[in-house]
Amino acid sequence: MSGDHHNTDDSGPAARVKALEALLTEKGLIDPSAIDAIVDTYETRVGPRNGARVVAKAWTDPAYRKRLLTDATSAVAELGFAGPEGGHLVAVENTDRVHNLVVCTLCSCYPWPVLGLPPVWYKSFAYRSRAVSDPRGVLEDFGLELPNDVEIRVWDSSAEIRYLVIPQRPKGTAKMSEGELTAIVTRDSMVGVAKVEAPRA
Amino acid sequence: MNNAALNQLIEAARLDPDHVFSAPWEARAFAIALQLSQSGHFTWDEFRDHLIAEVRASDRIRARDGTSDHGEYYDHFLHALEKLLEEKGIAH
Amino acid sequence: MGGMDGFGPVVCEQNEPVFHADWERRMYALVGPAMGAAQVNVDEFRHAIERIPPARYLASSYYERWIAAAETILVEHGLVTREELIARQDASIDPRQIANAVAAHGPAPIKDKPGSKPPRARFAKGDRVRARNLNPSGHTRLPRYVRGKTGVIARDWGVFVFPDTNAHHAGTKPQHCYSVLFDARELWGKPANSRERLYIDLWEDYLEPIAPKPKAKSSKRKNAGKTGRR
Repeated sequence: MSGDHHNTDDSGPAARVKALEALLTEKGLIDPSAIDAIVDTYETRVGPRNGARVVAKAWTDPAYRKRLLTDATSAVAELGFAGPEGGHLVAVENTDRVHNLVVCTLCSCYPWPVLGLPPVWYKSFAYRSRAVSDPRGVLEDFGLELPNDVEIRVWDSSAEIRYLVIPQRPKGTAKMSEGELTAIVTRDSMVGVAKVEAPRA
Repeated sequence: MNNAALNQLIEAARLDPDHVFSAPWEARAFAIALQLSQSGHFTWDEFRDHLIAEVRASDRIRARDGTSDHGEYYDHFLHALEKLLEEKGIAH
Repeated sequence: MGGMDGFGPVVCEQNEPVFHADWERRMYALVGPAMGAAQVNVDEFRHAIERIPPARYLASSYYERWIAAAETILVEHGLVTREELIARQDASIDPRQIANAVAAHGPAPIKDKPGSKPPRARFAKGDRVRARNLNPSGHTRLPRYVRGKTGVIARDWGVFVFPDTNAHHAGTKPQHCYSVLFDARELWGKPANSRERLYIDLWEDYLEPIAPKPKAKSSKRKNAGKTGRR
């Protein structure tokens, strides 16, 4: 699907991008069809479904889970997921006693190869400032209340490491296949603002 | 602080879970930045430095005024790209 | 972390490489062991990228391009066969094949310039550190909320190229990057039962050491400036 080359909206940023693209193309510095390909990649081909497969495999394959926790970059690459912002992946696992939450307070760093591009809320001033100062409050905004004795670990992706939360496998899913489990793992659970819910019987 | 702002964005994400870009220009700005870095005109780290500076400047205003943002992220992104390209003498 | 220890300084031993940009150095670092096994230098690797058919090149991300280049080199140097590569449905490299090729032919030691070594870590897991109170006019990756605060080294992520643009491109400065653990009480003055911990990734340049807490002494001793055993 080729992108819309001609922004009909004359608003400031749209016009600036249009002009920039034209200038860079004229100078031979970019290729519009490569731009199309990148847009298509991040709109349709790279997204949280990748991370869901990683999580489902970790839940069903203990050896894989171990590899994932030891060297997430390689373990994720085993499933064919790699690329920009995925050079240094680290998986952090939720347990009954520890809940992990990921943020990038400086900008919006996010593990693209497994989650795609971040949602608007992740990049917002509200999330970036409160995830570190009031993580419990942020989780409540997302509808998640954790018992007071659960330790919350907030990971600020301020350098090169990109974090993927491995949520807990919900009760009542023992009979589900890896494919079925993939379908219930949500993006929010892999950022740490939600838990995975078992499907209603 | 900013509960309402965050809640609005959370709700927006629930209504549109597959949302990636809010407008075509965002997508193209992103892809242009990525392609230029992949071709070696600048490193993604250099771009990120500029993006961080834009975000920081905006955050300061938010903190001072007690306001919140509603998804202007790609405005910072585009500014960062334009500044970096100017610095590199690539575009102005 | 397994595999490469961060991007670190990289070179092939035969020729001193000419990296045109930081991204090239990093790209090369990621295929370094395999390229060392094949005994190619960065120019040959760059040439392999240039030989990617245009349609595939345009459709590929940079990562896919250097994977393609690495494939080409491994096949041309007889380290893997094309059939072995194509056995995978998407015809991309199996990381295990690279690992096997390296194991069979030996890893190449990596260094930036002849005689230089990767920088040693200043800090180790468990060390108490303080984030510097920097307020630089230029770019920085030190989050405001952590400046001047005390934490503990949780992990050494290895060596990374530090894009210190304050140095006006005087050169990248590979250094260790650490996961530093801060307690929410330290950062925000929270009550002791808040059970919130923050792990922030900080470059070595952002950290200063804190002397270890003196151990409680059972016998009284005049403290002549000693800070306990180290």
